[in-house]
Amino acid sequence: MKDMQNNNEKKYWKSIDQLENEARFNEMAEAEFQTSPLKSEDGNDGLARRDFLKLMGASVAMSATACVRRPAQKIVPYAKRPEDLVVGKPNFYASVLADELSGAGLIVRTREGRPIKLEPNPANPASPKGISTRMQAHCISLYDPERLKQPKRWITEENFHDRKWNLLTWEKIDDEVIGLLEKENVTLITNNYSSPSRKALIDDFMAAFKGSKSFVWNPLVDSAEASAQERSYGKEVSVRPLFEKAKYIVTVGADFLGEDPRAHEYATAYAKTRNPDGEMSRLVTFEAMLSLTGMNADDRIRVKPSQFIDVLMGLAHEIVVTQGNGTVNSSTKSKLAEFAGVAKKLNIDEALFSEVAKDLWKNRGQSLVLTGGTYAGVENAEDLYVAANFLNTILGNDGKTIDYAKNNYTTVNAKQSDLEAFLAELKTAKNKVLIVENLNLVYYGGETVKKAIRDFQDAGGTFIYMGLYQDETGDMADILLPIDHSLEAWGDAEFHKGVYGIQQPTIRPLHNSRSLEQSMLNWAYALQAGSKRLQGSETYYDYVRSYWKSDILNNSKNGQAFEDFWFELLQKGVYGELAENVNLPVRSFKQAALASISTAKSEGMELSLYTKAGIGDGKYANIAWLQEFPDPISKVTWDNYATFSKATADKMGIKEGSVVTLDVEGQKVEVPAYVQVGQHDSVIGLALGYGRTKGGRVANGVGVDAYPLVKRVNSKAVFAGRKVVAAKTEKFSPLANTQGHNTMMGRQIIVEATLDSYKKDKSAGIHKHKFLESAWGKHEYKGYRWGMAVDLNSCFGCGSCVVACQAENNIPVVGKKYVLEGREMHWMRIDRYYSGDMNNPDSHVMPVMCQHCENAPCETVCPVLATVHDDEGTNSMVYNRCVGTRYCSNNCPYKVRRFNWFALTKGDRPEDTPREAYNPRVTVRSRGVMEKCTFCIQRIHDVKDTAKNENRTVRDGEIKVACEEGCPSGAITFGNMNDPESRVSKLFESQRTYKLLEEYLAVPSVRYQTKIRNAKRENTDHHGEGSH
Amino acid sequence: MPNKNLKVLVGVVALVLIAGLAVFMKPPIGYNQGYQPTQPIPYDHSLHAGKLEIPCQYCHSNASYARHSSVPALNICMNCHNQVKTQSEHIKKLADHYNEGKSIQWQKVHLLPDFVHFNHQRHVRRGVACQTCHGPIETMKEVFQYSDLSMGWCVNCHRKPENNAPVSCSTCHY
Repeated sequence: MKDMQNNNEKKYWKSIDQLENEARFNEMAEAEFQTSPLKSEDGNDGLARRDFLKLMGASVAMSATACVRRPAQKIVPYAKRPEDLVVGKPNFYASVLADELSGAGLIVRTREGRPIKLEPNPANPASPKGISTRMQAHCISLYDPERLKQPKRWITEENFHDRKWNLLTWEKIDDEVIGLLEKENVTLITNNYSSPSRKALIDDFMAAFKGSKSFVWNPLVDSAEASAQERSYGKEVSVRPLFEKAKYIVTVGADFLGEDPRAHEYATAYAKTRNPDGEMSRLVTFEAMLSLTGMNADDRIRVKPSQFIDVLMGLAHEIVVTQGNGTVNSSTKSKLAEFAGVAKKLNIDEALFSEVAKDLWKNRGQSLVLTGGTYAGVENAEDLYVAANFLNTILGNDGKTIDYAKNNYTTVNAKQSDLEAFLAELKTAKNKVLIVENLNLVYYGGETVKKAIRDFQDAGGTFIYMGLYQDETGDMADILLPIDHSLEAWGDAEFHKGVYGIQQPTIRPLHNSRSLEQSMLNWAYALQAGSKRLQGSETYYDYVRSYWKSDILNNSKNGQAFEDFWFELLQKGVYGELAENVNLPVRSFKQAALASISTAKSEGMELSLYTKAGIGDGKYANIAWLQEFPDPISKVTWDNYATFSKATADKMGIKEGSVVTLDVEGQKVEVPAYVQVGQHDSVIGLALGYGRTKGGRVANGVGVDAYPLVKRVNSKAVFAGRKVVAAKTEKFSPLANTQGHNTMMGRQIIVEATLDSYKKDKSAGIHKHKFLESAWGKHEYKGYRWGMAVDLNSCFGCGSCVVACQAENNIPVVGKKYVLEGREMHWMRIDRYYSGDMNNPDSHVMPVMCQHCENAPCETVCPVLATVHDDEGTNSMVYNRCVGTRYCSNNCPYKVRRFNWFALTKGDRPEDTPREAYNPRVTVRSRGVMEKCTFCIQRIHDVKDTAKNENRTVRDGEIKVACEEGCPSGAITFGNMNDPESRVSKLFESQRTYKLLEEYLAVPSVRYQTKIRNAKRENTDHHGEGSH
Repeated sequence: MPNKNLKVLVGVVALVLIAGLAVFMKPPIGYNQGYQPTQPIPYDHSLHAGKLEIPCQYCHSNASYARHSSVPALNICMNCHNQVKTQSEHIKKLADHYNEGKSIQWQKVHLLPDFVHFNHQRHVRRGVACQTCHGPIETMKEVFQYSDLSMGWCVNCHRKPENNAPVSCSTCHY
């Protein structure tokens, strides 16, 4: 590291330990395996490996002498085989996932009737590529053994001090609820949803029981956006940013690539503008913490959450007053004058700030100013939105890069005021029945909500909870009803106005569950209440059909017969078009809206609560895949932590893992610290969604609950900018960080160039070696030769590929204990490096999987030929032969091989993947064998089979490997290198392509394209000029 | 010490005998060649495939479409046995299972080692006769494992130039 760098080169580093060259890091970097296989406590999870081998040796000897037959196995064919099912072949169903804040079109892969993997639906115009990590993991939540299985009633018995659960049948439950509904009205609260049929049904039901009220709420509500639209333009609409049309993007706190519920959709659109050969867009980010958007920004500027308003208004001042552009009235001008000299005040590079303002104006009509999300969820969030709206209006972006016509679609956007209205309604206890559906109200809302529900119950109300788990909220219920998983039930979604998707069930309900919709239909029918549509539908399926017939097909006037339309819909999964070219007039901005904007007060350290790409709001906390998914920024698994900037941490004497106490206006939490470079010195970050107490065996006790730190008053939810006081304690709690090890030892790994130097030299930044002669002979590839191109320029590091790979390849979860020992099993990882100034570094991400080398170093050292080259260029693992010497892993320069230290697939630990969720096409590995990326060889075989049956060769793009399929931005391309016309061959010819650690002459089949940054900073070339 | 020499001699002879036995033993240890378990219903291939000449793929209809040839579902049996020989006790058992929607648990005869993938589709479509691997199935009253299904046995066929078959490890092992 040190010796390879000289002073004028940019230094790349992976963690602070490495930068400072600490002894601990060097120790870890030297050791491939951090712990001895003979560790004493290893046996706790079963037999230690040595013992196991001893026993196995004995049993082999015994079986060889006794000549016993293998254990007899059975074949159990179907009694009546379903018509469309061929045993051993997957069936695909189009569906949607609609219970996030947004929706995504899905193709559900099923095997013998079991859904095993979710894949993106390319027919969906809103999000044709990729699905997020949480959506990938949604599939195994179906098989979660801790799902609620039976309807239950909590009854009080005279002899018992405590109440206890009684299992009941649906008939009994129905009798009771119908009895209640005869006399009483209902208060209903659900999570956000985007299903038009569901909305219609809830409206119908509420109309049938006059006086009943329904509410929608979500813990991450962003109420400010809608009210700011009203304040700015006089009308409350939902707007859609059009990234594919934006040439210049400025975000202030907004994390559109990471945290935003539509991030996968935006990533697809944004990636289209990042082509360095075309007109490449530029992204400038102002933020407090390092987010995915900030990591990918061309320029990133650190500001505190309370300063966001200064940045936006300062930019406006710069454009309007200083540079004299745009027409505004005098009161606006004087308002803007308050924000003169912002750059100086905030300690921002003044030249850069005025350049941003100039460029925004230069790109007017094609630029985009964004704010919002939890990072920008400050007290004055509405002002932020208004200021951003003002900028977008004077820049003429409104109607061009911001689509405001697609407004008021079904997506129910909850507001913080909805929770307040709900609690007020509950307090009156007028409606004696409370139904909470699929919303963990008590966990999100804390003591306030808990008390409100208690009071309601004491006032004689009946609390019915419908959910997937008996969680924090379910535990308080009088009646607890299991609902169907979204893969078990009918439904629909409206992604954008006029773009609909249909949710098909792909499996019968596994448990004795029933959806809210079906329950409502049953209850309304029994009471003969409600509209004709409500009465006329026996099942929710009937209701969805009748809704689509009357409201969607009829409105579209396409004249198709309904049955034909329905048949097509089920095949395609989506209906409707997304307008490509939006060209609307700029709305007139009410300049009076700016009047109340002022600089926010700020003192001391500011808190910034955020959500992580894996866990999100905490709903999926019981899915072990997501707990073990390394956070894209910190690479920490299995925890949340308080993030401190390097300078602040040093000042306070904090190291990674030191436990700190955070005091936010009297609310205290104790949490380990993490030193996050690039964070503002006066900001402390903490992730929401952790610290579950009744989330399930995986979720419970992981991290701390940060929801009590969210301030929810006056119809506002404040996530950022609150004053926080941190104090160091003497305790230490290690964080399971996947980053400090698996390093590539400081060689040229990620190649990056600025746009300017790329335009001069297409291979800018790539270090060329003149004399590379291999001692090995070349392999001959007569047919296919598989290769993969990874475009670092469109990889944003979100990690969807990591979970997609896990789902496809039956990759086990090891748990926090073994991640700490460096034994995680992910076949692919996203390496993240920093370079430059440690206070505000450039970040670089790179997906690394087995490179399938032509001269693979692993192959030559295997004593038993368990890893060999095949005649199509892949490096294959023969599990039967592997005896677990781990020589291959030791000799792999890319550190992509994973060893099974324990049997992690037996299903006896809570974090084990449920058996039913395994992909039957892929071997489930066990203790003692090495494994690694196979290039999804099962998918290669399947497509080759189809091609052979049709007497042709495999078409380019026909084989989609799992990571490629999961990627929203199209960074990964897989194909046949022997075909000069294939996309991979074309990409490999590009001068931007380089091989990782080329000087080792391993000749990888995975090749990378350099990252191009549209920034002025010079000399990102770090390995010296020219060649040697 | 003659006694000790005798002991050594006996030991050597015993070893030679065991080695000889191992060489001449068929099937070799560990492979289940000849394995012939009793099935829950004594289905007779020599009658169906032999005498009646029902094509193999009438019942094993998956064989040319998927990796598994698959044991037929009961609805295939019932195509004929709705009418044919309905009074037989075995057919009654079959019909009962079918009507109750209960599967019949057959004993698996051909068992590949773990981590090996075999693809029926490829072989059937290439024109490899079922009998090449499964033996004279049309004469078997009760099915037994004809070939040893060892890797050497697979590769012997794959290596023949006229077969033009792949011999990469990853063809079967992944």
